[in-house]
Amino acid sequence: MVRCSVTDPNALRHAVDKYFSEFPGEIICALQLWYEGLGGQGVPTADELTAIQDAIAATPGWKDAGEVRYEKFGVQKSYKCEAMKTHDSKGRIMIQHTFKRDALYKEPNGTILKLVTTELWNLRCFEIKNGKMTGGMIKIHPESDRAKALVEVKS
Amino acid sequence: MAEKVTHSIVVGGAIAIHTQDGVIRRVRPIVLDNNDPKGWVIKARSKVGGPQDAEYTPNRKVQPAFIALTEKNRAYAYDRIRYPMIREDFVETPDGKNRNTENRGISGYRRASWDEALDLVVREIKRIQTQYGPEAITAMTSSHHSWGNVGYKISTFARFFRMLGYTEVKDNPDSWEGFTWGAPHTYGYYWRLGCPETFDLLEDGLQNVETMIMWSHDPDTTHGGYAGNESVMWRHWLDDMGVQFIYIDPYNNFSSIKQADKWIAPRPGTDAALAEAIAHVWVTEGLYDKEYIAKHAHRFEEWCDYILGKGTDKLAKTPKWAEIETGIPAADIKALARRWATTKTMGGSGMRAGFGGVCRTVNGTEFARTMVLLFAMQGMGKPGQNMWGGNTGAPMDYDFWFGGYSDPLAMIWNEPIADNVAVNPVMQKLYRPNLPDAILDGHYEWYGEGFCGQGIDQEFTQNVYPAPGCSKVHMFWRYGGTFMGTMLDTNKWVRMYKSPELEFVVNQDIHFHGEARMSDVVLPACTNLERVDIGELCSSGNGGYQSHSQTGCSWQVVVFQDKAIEPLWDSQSDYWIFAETAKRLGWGEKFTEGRTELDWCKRYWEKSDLCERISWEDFMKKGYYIPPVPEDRVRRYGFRWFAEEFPCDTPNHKPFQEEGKLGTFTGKWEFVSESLQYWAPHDEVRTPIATYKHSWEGHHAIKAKKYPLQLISPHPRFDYHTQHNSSTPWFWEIPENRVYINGNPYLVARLHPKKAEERGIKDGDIIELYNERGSVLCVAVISYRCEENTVHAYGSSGIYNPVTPGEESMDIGGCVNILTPGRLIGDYVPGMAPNSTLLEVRKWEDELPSGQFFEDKLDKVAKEGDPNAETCIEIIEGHGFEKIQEKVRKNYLKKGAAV
Amino acid sequence: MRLGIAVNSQRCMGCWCCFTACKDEHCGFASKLSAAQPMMGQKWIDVREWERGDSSRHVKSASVPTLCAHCKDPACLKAGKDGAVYKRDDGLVIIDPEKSKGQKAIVDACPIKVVFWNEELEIPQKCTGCAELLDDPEYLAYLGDPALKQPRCVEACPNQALFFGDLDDPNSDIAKIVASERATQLEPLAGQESVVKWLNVPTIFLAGTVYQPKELDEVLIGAKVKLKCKETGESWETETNYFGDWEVEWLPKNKTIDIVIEADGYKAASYTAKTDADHYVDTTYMVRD
Repeated sequence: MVRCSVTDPNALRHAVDKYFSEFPGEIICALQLWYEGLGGQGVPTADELTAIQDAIAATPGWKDAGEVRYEKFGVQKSYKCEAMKTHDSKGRIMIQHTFKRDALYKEPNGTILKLVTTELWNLRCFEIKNGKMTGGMIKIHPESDRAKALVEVKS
Repeated sequence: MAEKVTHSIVVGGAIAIHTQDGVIRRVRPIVLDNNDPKGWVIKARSKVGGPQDAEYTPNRKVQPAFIALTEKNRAYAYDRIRYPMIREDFVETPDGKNRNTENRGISGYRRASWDEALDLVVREIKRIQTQYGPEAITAMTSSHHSWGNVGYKISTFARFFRMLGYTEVKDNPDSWEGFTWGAPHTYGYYWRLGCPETFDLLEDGLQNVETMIMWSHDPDTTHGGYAGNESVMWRHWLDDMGVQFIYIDPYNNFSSIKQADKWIAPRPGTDAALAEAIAHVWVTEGLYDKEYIAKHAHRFEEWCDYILGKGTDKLAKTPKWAEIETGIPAADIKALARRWATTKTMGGSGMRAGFGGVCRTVNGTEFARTMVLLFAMQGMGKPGQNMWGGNTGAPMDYDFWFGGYSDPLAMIWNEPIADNVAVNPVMQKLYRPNLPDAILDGHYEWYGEGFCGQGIDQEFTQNVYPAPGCSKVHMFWRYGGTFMGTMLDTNKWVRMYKSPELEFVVNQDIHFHGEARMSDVVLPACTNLERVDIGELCSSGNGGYQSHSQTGCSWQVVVFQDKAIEPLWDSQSDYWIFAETAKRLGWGEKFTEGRTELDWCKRYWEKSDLCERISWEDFMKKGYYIPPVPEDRVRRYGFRWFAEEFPCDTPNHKPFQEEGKLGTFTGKWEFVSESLQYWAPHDEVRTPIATYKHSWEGHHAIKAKKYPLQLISPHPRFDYHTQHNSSTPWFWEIPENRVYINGNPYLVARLHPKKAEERGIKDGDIIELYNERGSVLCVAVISYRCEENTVHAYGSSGIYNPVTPGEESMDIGGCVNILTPGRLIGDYVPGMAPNSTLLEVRKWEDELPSGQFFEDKLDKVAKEGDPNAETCIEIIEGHGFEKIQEKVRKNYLKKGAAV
Repeated sequence: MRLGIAVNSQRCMGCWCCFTACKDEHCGFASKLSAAQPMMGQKWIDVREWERGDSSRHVKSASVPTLCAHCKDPACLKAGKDGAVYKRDDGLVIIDPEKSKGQKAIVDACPIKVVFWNEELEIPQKCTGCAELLDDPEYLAYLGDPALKQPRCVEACPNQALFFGDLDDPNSDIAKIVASERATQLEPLAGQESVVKWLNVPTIFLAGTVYQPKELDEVLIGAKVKLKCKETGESWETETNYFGDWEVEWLPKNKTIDIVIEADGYKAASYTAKTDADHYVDTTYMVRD
């Protein structure tokens, strides 16, 4: 019950490309692609999963990211891409893709902030000093220049 | 005699407390003054079909439920624990054995000093840690016996036990089982525990809705959780403009009896069959939003085949079929389906559109999933088409953040409120509904991580007790409220407490509840009114599971919960008790971080938006702060983003929502659940297609021959969980609640006139409700408001009054959970099903016992503390209350004179 | 000025806030106007409720917050001796806690049973209209606006079922609600004027459901239902709704009503019902012409 045949490498390649052209996220697993991108119904077989994983790995910009936990799928072999979309096709900001809750960000002046909520009307954060949250809550509008200048601190 | 006014929040709402000379004089609603902001204004219709030319704005008072107005009684209550107490025949044996544990619940207590009690507790903690390891200590809170970000369970309690190290007991989602375990497999929202988002739907409803489906929903009784009566006017407005209210409930509940335009009464636990029949009408008559479904539904055709009888069971889910299961005439089912489909319809189940008694039946998951699908079929998210129960979704100031009780940022064990995060080193866990099984059998296995709010995958984690390499638990510290009335098969809990496996049991509570009577050491905590705290009305926290639950209120109110009076008798605040214990364990300073309770309160002001709005001094003086809702507010209607396909603009969202997707595997409405097919393909209780199934304790069960009636025990109208009824004799004078006979408040149980007549039972008779698990004496109310096979008696009885204390005896306190099944809904569905209970009822002809069976124990300890102490019965019926106040007043004035 | 309380029964959801607030104010606390109410046994404001209907097909309930009516011509005042019961200038009727000692006749005189006997003190007791609070300049001074002062029951009501104010001021909320809603003085007080104004206390309904012929399993929408009372000459007309249900409220009590149900293509069905109590007349399966 698959809308796109995974046994036909060309068809699969085409479907994966089409899905990635619209997919704004940075992490994906074969299961997610199966259900969302290929119209999969029911649990894919091991062969089908392998075919999809191969197709993702062969897509430029997507690299093996090891095992990652998904809230829906649990821990899955995953792939990561470099370029992430921050706005939808109508130009509206996608906060959750642009800013990650509980992640650390650096301001141009070197201040490290931890984002504790990421809502459309406000990013809320605390300054991190010596590994601790300090001071009062800082509010930054997600479309402000200050927000645009935030750079994620990758661990 | 100067009158001091302070404010607080309690589970019944926000209150103003008047004190005079150190005693509480009265408790009132907070009436807004001219300095408080204007209320929001919603422009909407004055009549269904009319122009949007009317304005709606809330009353200028914060409206608590009546339970909140009894907080004075709860403070001076007859069943208040006045002193630390130690069980009379408790022996502190060095190995933890031979402690007469079989006498728990039977033996009396003696008064102890705080030093004696806490030193004993600390010695036992150290012994058990040394003998078995830190995991041998377990502790558990119950829900909402108090309020406040500092003092509430997830805060102070969690801080202490995380620092101590303990085996955490995971809560089950006891009020919304079917929604946690079912609904996420249909539409996601596991991060809201299966409930939908209802932002700004009050405005949508007032402007657009024509029909309200109130399915297992009694908003005037459940008070939006902790919103008091804040939303009652909204439903009056809807009613007045001619919106049609259709209530579906085996009991014509208290909201229904007043506002229903139609009451539909399914046999208990058969609601999923009704839902399927509604779908049958829609599918055969084409009465659904085909465009929406074509775009947003997954495997809809397969599901239609199932509904139409082309599935594996070859059984068409026709209204006629449902009539046989549910007892509702097929013609009525068709009429309901057509009304729903042809008018703008909102609704849902229970207080957050995803609660209600039905989800606490064996079919709870299947009902929840099917009902959610029905709303999907009508284009959920479009104007006037949504899941919304008429009691949430008021306008609010989204730009104002304070932090509610389940918000990770608003707990004193966590940053930023604390300097150092407290981390529990113990990985072993227990699971509340089966805690007694685990203790008694010494081994227990189950699926799931409590509420499972962090992901669908959490439902399927496997847990084993004892965890590999871990000790079993041997010490239990219970804190606040009682599970005798809220957890199922009460007698299982009695057996647990009598087990020598539990070498040491501590109970820390305000009132001498059923479980406190089962402990070795009782620690008296004070009420909210006797300590400081800070909190926001009805807020579980913007980052919490029911994010923005304060939209169930007309007013957003942050309150400085000032201390109205000094702690009564020897009671102390929970914070003091934990801080003092920590001190004796050698880490007092680490626990307090040098802060008093007031200092902790101020941290919430500092770390939230409150400090931008009002100075700490002004806030303390005024007592509360109400953020105004901006007049030019932006509307963020719940679920509109999905229906209209734009990045999610409602709070608490997820990355996939911004992509216009739901939290299911496919991102669509899953009419056949891919997540269940993936995670639990062999589960027979919760199948990939949600189907109505015969209950293991329903009318098809063999047992039904012996016990033909079905008990439903919904959340109580005259209580909040177990917190008020036991302490408030005034409530025993409300005929729909209890009847006070021979010094005991008998609970009311309702049954249909036909079934009553068959049994020779008349209105007001004492009746015995019984099955193989036990029996409870109640007072009969004979009422056409019951579906014929239904016995209705409110659950969560705070009064537990076994005729033979400490034994599995008949109860006269109305603790009907003695009768409910302790079994989980299914192996993969670790929820409880109190509303799947079979029982029989008979007239009670024997003599009635007199009094309650714990009062003498309390009286004895009270007299040890003060020979002239007021007895329980004196406080209930006589002048005990006045005498207590007089003594406290004298003391207060004497101290004042000394100063 | 006539201070009064309007009780809109239609709005009352039976939440018992009024009862609880009243108990909170008066149980265990005496004032100049009354002795303390005992902890149990008295209900100065009671929510009197009854179930309406004789079938699970159509059942409702009535909720009537019931407190001292503060009658214009109080029976209790007449029964009281030595000025034990008196009327204030604002219209509130007060029982003097000292002068009334031993006068049980005051309890017995009340037609609506809202005066209670205190066995211990041997005095009759009842609602004071919270006059002791209204009189107290300090009470609620913190609000800054005396207009916000209300009797406890009214303040606690979340449903706008209770209104307090000056009945003589046509612009007051209470005067407006009294003017716009159906006045329904309690039956035992018939003919008596009082400053507590009961509104929308229900009388009797008759109701039923109309179906198409039984084998069709369909409701019949839009059937005409005509009711007629020969004794009073009154008549009522309604239609079945989307559930085939019909209901007529506010019928006169203890009369005989003739009912005819008509729909195009069907034989008319007729019934006779008594309005001794609320009745569900029948589920009617219509028969084709």
